[in-house]
Amino acid sequence: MRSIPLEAGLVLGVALVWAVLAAVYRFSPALGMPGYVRVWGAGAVMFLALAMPLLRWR
Amino acid sequence: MTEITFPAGAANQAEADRGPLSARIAALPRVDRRLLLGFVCVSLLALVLGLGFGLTTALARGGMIALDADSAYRVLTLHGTSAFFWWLYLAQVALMIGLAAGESTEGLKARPLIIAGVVVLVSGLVLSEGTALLRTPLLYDANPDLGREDPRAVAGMAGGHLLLALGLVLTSLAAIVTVLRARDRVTGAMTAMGFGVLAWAGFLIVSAIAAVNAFLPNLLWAFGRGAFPADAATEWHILFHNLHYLPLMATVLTWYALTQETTGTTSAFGSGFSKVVFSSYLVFVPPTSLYHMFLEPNLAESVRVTGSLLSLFVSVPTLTAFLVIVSSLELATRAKGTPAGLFGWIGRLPWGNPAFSAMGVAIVSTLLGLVFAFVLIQEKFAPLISDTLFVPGYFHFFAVGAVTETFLAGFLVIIPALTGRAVWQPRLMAAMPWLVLVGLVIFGACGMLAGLQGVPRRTFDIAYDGAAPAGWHALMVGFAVGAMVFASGLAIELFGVLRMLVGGKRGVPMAAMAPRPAGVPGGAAWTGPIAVVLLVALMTGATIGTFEVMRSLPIVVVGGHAGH
Repeated sequence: MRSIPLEAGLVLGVALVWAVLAAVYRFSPALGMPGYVRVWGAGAVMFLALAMPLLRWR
Repeated sequence: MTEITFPAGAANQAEADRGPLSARIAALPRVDRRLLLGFVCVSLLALVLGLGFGLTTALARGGMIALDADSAYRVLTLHGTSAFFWWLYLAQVALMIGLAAGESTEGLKARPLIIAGVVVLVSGLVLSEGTALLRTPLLYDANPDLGREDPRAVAGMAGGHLLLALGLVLTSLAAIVTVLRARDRVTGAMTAMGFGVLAWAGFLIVSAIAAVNAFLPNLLWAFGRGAFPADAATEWHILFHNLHYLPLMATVLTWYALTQETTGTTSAFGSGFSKVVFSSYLVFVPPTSLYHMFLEPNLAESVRVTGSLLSLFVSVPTLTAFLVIVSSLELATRAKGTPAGLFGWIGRLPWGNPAFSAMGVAIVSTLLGLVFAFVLIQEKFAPLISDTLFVPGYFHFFAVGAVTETFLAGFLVIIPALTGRAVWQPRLMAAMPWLVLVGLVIFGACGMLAGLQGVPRRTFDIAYDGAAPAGWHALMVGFAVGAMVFASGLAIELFGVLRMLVGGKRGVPMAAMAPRPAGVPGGAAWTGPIAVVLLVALMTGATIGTFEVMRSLPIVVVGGHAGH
């Protein structure tokens, strides 16, 4: 079993939520707000990048 | 299989053992202390401007000074730009850099990024203020619709906000590098504050991206390089949602630091749980954003219902942090003796410490603001009251009472550590936050009641040729009086802070006055949960009261459309 640090787990969780929301905005015709896709999507990528140094410690 | 490892109790002890924040800041390299002082000074300049223009606005709304329509809009633009953008974000940079530096024994990392950040942010401040002063006033959201005939105004306001975004990215990257390099060399673990700064800085960077998404099309249009930004209002709302959460996240992180600094109390729930709470801000940001779109006429009914349900979660992170801090304080205070009654422990807190006093007012003000925020974001109310004076009436509980008081409390800890000067008139400085709260209650009560009766938010002349209801005038006078009271308290606090920078007497370093950090014993603490139950009851009461006030109006109010 492999463990990941709490900090990395939390930041990855944030990236996942933002990615899911970006996808919801992208594929839901009722919303029709491309700006949300851009911002939440960019946020997901940013938090994913932030998680990398937290994971690499071990 | 992968499992997430929570830090053991030793992590909490390590945080308690490393000494007060003020001592760590006082020990920073000279260059870091100067950079930190630079950010503090520039942010205070923005606060002075925001306070001055804000008071002028309130006096004009109360009929105590006369402003023509153009000047009124200009003063409103200057107030919003100075206070909502520049004060709140420059102060955040100062505190973020200070807390990050406090994590590292070697001071700040990536200093060139911070120096570049200073240059960019000061340039942005000058551009924003200059544009708001000299060109067509577009309000703080830099609305391009208002600048169709003055593209230079659109370019200046958008340019100022984009420079703010760039400055936030530069300084946030430096903060991230600093806290990452300050991790435990063996385990890689971060302190709760180190992780909080990382999350906060990440959120600032994402918000800077949202600012580019909102303002770059405006800038391109103003330079003749793009089409008119027809979706500007929607793109603004994305950024605006982040701008609600960011100062509150910064506020909660500062409370966390101040609690330890002024009382020696660490979280009773452990450093791991604090990290979960800090990251919860980021989890709750995107799903709760829909309520800003309630004023859009074409929004599908299913989206309105979903937005209404999700908006109920908007205060979960702040209330969780509130519970952690209040419960930890109660447990630690009870452990020192047996205070009388359920709430007797509150009297034993260090209310004579100006930083703690300001934090206490900030917590009360946050709870008051939450009560009325929940009225505003309800789908049935939002279209009716979003363009009324209800909005400034309630949000100053957050902007002034919660966030500004917290940031000033943070400065009361940081500045003496940087300058070696004692806090000016500590008893007076401890009393001023309560004067601010009194003023806010008057201002908020009159403003919200006026808003519920239909007083518009951004129209200064509300006489309507004598057709306006007679009750409006008294409420507007009360609104201005409340503003004068809280502005007086804030002005004295500002003077006190400035005296710690220039001319104040050298005194006992804050580090020596700060209590030794200590852990928190177990036990029962009921004040926090009782406060939350009371808060829910007040929210319900405020909602019922709002319905009753609006039903008693002699006219039907038709909602606006311009957003908030």
